[in-house]
Amino acid sequence: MSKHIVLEGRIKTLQALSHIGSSSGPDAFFNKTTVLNERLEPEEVCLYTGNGFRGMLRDLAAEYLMDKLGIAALDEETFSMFWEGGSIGGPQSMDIDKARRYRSLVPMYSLFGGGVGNQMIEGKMCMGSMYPICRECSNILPRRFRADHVSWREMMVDRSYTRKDDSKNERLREKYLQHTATLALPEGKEKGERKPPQQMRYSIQTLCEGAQLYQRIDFAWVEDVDLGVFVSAMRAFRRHPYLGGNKGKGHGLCEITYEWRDADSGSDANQHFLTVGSDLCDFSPAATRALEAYDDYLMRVYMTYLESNKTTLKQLLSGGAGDVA
Amino acid sequence: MMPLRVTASMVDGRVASSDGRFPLDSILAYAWMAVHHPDRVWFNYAATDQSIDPDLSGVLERRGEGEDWYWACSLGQYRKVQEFIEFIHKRTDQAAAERYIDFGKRRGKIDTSAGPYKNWRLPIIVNLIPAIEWYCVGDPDEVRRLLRYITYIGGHRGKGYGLVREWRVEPWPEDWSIYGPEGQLMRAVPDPAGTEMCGIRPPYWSTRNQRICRVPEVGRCGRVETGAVSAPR
Repeated sequence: MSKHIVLEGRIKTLQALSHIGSSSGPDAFFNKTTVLNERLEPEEVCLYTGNGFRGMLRDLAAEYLMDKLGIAALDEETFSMFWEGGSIGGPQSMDIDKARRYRSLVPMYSLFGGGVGNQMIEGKMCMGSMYPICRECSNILPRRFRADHVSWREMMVDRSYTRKDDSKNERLREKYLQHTATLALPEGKEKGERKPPQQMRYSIQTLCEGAQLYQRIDFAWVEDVDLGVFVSAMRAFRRHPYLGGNKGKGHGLCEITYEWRDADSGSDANQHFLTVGSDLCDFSPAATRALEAYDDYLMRVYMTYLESNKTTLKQLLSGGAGDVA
Repeated sequence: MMPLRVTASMVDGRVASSDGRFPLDSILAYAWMAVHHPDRVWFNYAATDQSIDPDLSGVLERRGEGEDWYWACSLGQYRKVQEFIEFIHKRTDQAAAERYIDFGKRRGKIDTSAGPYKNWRLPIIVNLIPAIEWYCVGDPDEVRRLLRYITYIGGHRGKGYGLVREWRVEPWPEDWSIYGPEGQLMRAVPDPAGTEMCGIRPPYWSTRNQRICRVPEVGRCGRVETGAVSAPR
C-alpha cells in the first residue's frame, strides 16, 4: 500500500561547504535566496538548493542501479534519462511508451521523474532545500531545530586560494620547460619574449565547519521499493559523503541524519531513519527494509524478464541494444 | 454544500509560478486523480476522453451553463510580498558519462551546448507569499480529505518550492467563489466579450476546457488576515 513519508534531516558540515550562487571577478559567493521570516517579511538567507542535492542523489541512485544489475554501458538517451532526468522536446510518440515502461519497471525513474518527448513525468519525491539552522530561518524550522541565538551571517567564512603560474618558477622552468631559443615561434614573435604570469588569487564564500542545516523531503504515494531508491542513493553517498563544490580543495565533507514519520497517520512523532557521514553509517530497520525491498525488486524484475520475455532489464535500460545476460 | 474559505499557510513563502494563478479546483482535481486513478497521474497517461476528467461533483458545486460549466471556486487570493528570479541548473556528469555511455563505433562526443543533452540554466519566477486563500462552495469534509494529499503547490515542487505548512478549511458566511465582497471577479468566467483564452475547469491544460474568459487580477489585491498564518510546529 502506498504511503506518504516525511523525512527531516540535520546536516552537519565537517568541512566548510561551498555552494556558489554568484560571482564577481575572482570572488565567488554562497548561494542565497529570500524567504519569509517570523514577521512575514522578506529575509535573505543562504541555502543549499534541493535541486542540487536531488541531482546528486539521482546520479548516485543511477550508479547503484547500474552496479547492482552489472550494466556496463548505456546509450546516450538512456544515460540522459537516468542521470539527468531526460529532456523536453522533439517527437513524443515513440518515447512515451518507453517512459511508461521505465516508470512501471524502474522505481528510480518513478521516484525522481524526468522529461520524455514533450511531457514531464512527475516524480514522487519533493526535495526541500537545506536551510542553515539560524534565527533568520525560524519561520521555516520545526521548533526542535530552532537556534535563535545565531545568524547565518556569522557562519559564513571567506577562503582565499592562489593559483600560481609555475612556468615562472625558475627551477621548474630550467628543468622542464623547453628553452625559448629552441622553440619555433609564430611569425612576429621574437625569441626570448615572455608572457605575463597567468596566476591569480581568488576567494570562495563558504559555510563554516560545524554549521548545521535543516532539510525536509516529502515522499508521496510511495512504497518501500520507492523509498529503497532513496536509501540506495544514501548508501552510495556514504562512500563519499561530500556536498557542494570545491571538494578537491577540502570542502564539503558532512554528516547527515534523517528522521522519518508517517504523514498519513498525522503523527508528529519522528523516528531515526538513517545517518551517514565520515566513517559513519547507521540505517534504521525501516531504511534497511526499504533497501532490501528495492534490491529484491531489482532481482525479481531482472529474473522475470529473463525467464518470460527472453529479454532483460538490461536490454530495456540500454534501449534494446544491450547484451542478453 | 456550503460557502467555504480554504487557506494554505506556506512554510518559507517561495512559490514558483509564472502566471501567479492557483485554481483550487485544479489542486483538488490532482488529489482526486491521484486517489482514484494513480496510474493516470504517475504514468502521465492523459487520455482526452471524458472518462479521465476528475469528478469533483461530491466536493464542489457545479456552476455555469451547458459546456461552459465550471466548479464554484475562486483563484488563489494572496498578498505577494516579493517576486524574484531564481535559477536551476542541469549539467552533464562528465565522469559518469565517460564511464557508462557506450558510443559503439561512433565518435564519443556529447554536445552539451545544444540539443537534448544541453546544459542549461533555467530561470524560474518565484513569488514570496505568506498564505493563499480560496473561496468555494463545497463539502468541507471532502475538501479536507483531498487536501490531505497536497503538501506542495505551484511549479517545481520536486525541488522544494511551494511547501504548505497547513491547510485550513472553514465555513464562510458568503459565497465569494465567483464574485468577491466588492463585486470583483474571483475566477475566470466564460464570456464572449472576455479578453483571454484560458481554462475554466481541470484539466486546465486541455484545449477542450478553454474558453474566452474574463479573468481577475491576482496577487495584488488578496486578503490575508492577521493570524491567518499558523506558527511552526
